[in-house]
Amino acid sequence: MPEIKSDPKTGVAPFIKGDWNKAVYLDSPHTDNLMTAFLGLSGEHWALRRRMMVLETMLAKNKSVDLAALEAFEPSAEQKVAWDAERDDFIKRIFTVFTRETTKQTADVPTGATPPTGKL
Amino acid sequence: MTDHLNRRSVLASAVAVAAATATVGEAQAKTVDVKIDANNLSPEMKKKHAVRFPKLDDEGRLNFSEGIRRWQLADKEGKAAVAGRQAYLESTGHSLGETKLSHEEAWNVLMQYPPYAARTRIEWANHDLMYENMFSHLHKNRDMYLAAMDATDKAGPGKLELNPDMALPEYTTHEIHRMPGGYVGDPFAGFAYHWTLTEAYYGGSSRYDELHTRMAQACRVPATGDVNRILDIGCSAGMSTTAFKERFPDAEVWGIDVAGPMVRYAHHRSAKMRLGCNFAQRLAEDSKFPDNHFDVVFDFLLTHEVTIAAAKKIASEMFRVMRPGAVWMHNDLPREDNPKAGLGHTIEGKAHVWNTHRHNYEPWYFRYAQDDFPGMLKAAGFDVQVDNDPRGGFIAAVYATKPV
Ligand SMILES: C[S@@+](CC[C@H](N)C(=O)[O-])C[C@H]1O[C@@H](n2cnc3c(N)ncnc32)[C@H](O)[C@@H]1O
Repeated sequence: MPEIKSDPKTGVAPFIKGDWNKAVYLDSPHTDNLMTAFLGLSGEHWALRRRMMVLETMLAKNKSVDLAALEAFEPSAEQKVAWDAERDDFIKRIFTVFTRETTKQTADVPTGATPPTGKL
Repeated sequence: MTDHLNRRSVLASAVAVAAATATVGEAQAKTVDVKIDANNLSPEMKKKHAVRFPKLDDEGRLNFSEGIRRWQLADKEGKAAVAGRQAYLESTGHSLGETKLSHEEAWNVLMQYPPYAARTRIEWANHDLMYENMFSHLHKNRDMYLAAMDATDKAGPGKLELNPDMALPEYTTHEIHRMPGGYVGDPFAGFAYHWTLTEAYYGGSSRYDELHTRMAQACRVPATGDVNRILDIGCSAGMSTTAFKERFPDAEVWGIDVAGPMVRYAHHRSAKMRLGCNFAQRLAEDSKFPDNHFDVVFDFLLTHEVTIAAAKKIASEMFRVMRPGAVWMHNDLPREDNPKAGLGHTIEGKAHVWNTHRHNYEPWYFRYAQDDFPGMLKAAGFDVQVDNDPRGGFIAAVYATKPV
């Protein structure tokens, strides 16, 4: 086997391609692909929402927006905490759906009282 | 185009940062030992360590991956999730205790349970998305990032040594962590590794390299107190290397890694921080340093990524380059019989090891998890002590001292 050497300038060398992007984790490759695409779309949605929060902050302060300043905007410490909490909440609402418990339905509706889940 | 580290005005002088955040320890008179509290970093220190995306949307995308990572870690260990898995195993006639199933079989059992399979799919889809977003950003801005590294390659501060004549062992060239190209195959591997960790994978817990600062600050020093030369093996993006230089600014600090793109980025990052660490593309098992040279050696997450044969060679090579009395702080993943890490020979523990090994693409982790690296250190001649995890977690720090 030839020796593996790296480029003198960039340090880049040949590598062994993995099969990690070929795995199927769910019941069909299509389900896997849908879930992956859905995740990507959710990421785009969040990036847009974050951009809007930046826009709103700048508009509220300056009444106009300079595009370079928009790209360079850094949230304050309080905004960072609040925005991350909003993100975590968004993710929880959407993604917990995928990990819900499921059972085969019985023929008829379940019987027996359940304690109330909350007080009015 | 903007300079990637200057997007939001990065401090130029590390000296000012150290002065603003630290007091000089008195314990070791000979060695300047700067105390930095990773839980309480100053704004200057944060600026110095922060990663800067030129585009808001790229930052937003990684911020999303960070959120998924946080959710996935919390959700998987939630009371209801754990109870659900246990109920599933019991209802399908499996034991919750030790199992004779192989690791792959244990993983296959849990993958029949829809919430586990969905979590696994989300975990790896998020991982792949994170790298995809990162590499697409880097390659779209290729010229800017290449020029940035060009500028610091020679100017420093700190030396950079690439070794095009060195033969890379094949075991180092896999796509570990499912990172496209692995550590060696992409010119931006260093950027991608560091930025995805701090901006996503650590779930926001090490945005300013707090994890590495904590370890470097906790590291014991030789009994004589003098720390003149420090070596960080398998340094990757150099986060630990710079953390040691921040603690011991007068010491000569070296980071070595087999991967050219990693040391190139590590050097670039350290130079931009004005720290002057030295980086070389070298093998930990054949480091080329003189005998009895270093006072402190450090490694974090290296040994589970090498073969057992290489791990043994690394132990004896470090014994050679350390001076008598020198201290090596070794930190790596827990063995698979570590109950604190939620492992053990149960279906859940074995499935976790398999998920990491096969799906986080850690080809050498499986053997490592069952082997005994502290034993190899003893066999190489070291006095070995296991200490509590300086991060408060389950990765014990192992101290190997070369007898005087
Ligand atoms: C998980 S990373 C280490 C992280 C790093 N120590 C830190 O503090 O963040 C593992 C690194 O070890 C390097 N590596 C693997 N085998 C090596 C060897 N035999 N010699 C030197 N470096 C090696 C890889 O290229 C990779 O960059």
